Amino acid sequence: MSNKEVVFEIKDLEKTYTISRGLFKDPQIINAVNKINFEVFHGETYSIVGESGCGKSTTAKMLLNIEEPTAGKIFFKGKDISTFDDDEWKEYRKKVQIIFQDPYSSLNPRWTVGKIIAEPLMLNTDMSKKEIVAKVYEIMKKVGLEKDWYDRYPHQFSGGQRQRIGIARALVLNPEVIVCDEPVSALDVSIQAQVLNLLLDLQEEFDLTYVFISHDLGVVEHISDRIMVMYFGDIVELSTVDELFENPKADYTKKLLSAIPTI
Amino acid sequence: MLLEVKKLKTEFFNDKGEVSICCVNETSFEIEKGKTLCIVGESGSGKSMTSLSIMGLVEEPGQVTSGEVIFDGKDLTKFSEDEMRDVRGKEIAMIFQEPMTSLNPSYTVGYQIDEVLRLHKKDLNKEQRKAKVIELFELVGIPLAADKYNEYPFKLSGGQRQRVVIAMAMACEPKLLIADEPTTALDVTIQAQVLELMNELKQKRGTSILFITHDLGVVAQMADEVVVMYKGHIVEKASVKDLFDDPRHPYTKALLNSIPTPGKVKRKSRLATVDEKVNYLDFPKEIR
Repeated sequence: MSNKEVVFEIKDLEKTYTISRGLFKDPQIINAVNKINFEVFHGETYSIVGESGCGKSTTAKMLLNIEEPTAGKIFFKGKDISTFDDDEWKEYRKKVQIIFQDPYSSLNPRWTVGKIIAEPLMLNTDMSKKEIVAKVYEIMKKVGLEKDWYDRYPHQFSGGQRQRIGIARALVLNPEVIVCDEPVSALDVSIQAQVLNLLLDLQEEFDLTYVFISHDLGVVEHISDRIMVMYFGDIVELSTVDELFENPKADYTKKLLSAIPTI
Repeated sequence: MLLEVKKLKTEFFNDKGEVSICCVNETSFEIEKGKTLCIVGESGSGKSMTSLSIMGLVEEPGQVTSGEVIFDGKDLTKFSEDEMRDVRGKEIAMIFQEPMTSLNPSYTVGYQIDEVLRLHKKDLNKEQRKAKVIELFELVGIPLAADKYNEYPFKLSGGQRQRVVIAMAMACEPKLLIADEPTTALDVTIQAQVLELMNELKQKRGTSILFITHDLGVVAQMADEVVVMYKGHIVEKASVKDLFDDPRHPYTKALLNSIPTPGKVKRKSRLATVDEKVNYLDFPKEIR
């Protein structure tokens, strides 16, 4: 793995939230992410696991620049993202995409599928309308959506199909990295399997890097190369999938593994 | 036999009074005293409608059109609304998926559990009820039970809220507890605690549990008997051991194969899926 290209390098990344407790009390400071360090290599699936409130989503949001870090640095291909100029930001937003957890609330209900998938192209490229439509059809085919669904609205689709729309939208700008924030946790097991298969296919075809956030260790085991376990803002364990499942070191990881109901 | 569901049929009607959907199609199953029956299925399979039908909570335009729900020797489908109100909460209690939405945000948790006792245990006075509520909190493992009496739901964590909901359901020591995806919204470690708590209550109080879930891992841990539902039909019924050792119905097999299980499925291999083009109802039902 060491000879692989480093996509993300995270150094002492920290995020604190300040909660006001009224006029006469000191504000409460919450460390959502606590000086974490890690690297993500090109082409791998890097999973972040942990329970709600452990800071996994905050970390993802900082990677996408939705949240600004309180301290620390994120390097994307060797360059500190906080020093980006406008053009570099534009490029970064194309290269790093996200798939959200809830396929019901992450799509605009008043837009057709075609428009939802085309929006990133309209904003980020100078493609003509014709080219955009052609590209949208191409992507829809890739993720298993039928051509005649172009003019349909999100409510006309099932959960799994909606998640495919979300994936298509993330994929349309030919990204290098996709941050998947619990992409299958709202889906039924059989649909979950379909979406996981799709993600695996797409990774092979487009040479994608996934930062995969999940609380489901079964899913993580199946899809990941390396896993980072977070607990209250800290990384408690970071290792390859084999090591983590065969020889977990941190007590918390052991607890997490033993808590999965197994068949 | 505590509960016998016989050929229960629940249908939804359109404006013209025609049947538009049949959510529960002649399902039959039984639950023995002190046992857990799990209903598994995907969304839309009719598992929640089955539980609502038992409770008599199917809303218009839906209706239980035929079949019997024999609970403790009496047919609940023949009960009037008033009679059902006595059964709900007292004889049969229900736990829902989302603990935040099943608690009222503007009342303290103590008050909300007290309400159940006020309605169903009219012989208890105020002090006795309060003592009982605190006892229930202790039973479900809420720390500092006496202090928590006056807390509002938003102050509690997800796991604690679900414990409150379980305490509320256990308040009248029901004979049957219906749990509709009670741990789906919870973290795995909290889920493990809640499942353990439910098993403990089952042993201590001899409560029967009807457990509805889509998580087959949870089924393996909780169930004595399992019912697999697909499009409103029961396609397979078996003891938990038989179901996992020897699944017979193609749908059950497909469902089991679609779960990424550590050690069982090769990593990064493509998972088996439930084939949407196949109508699994064409296969014979496997009722054991």
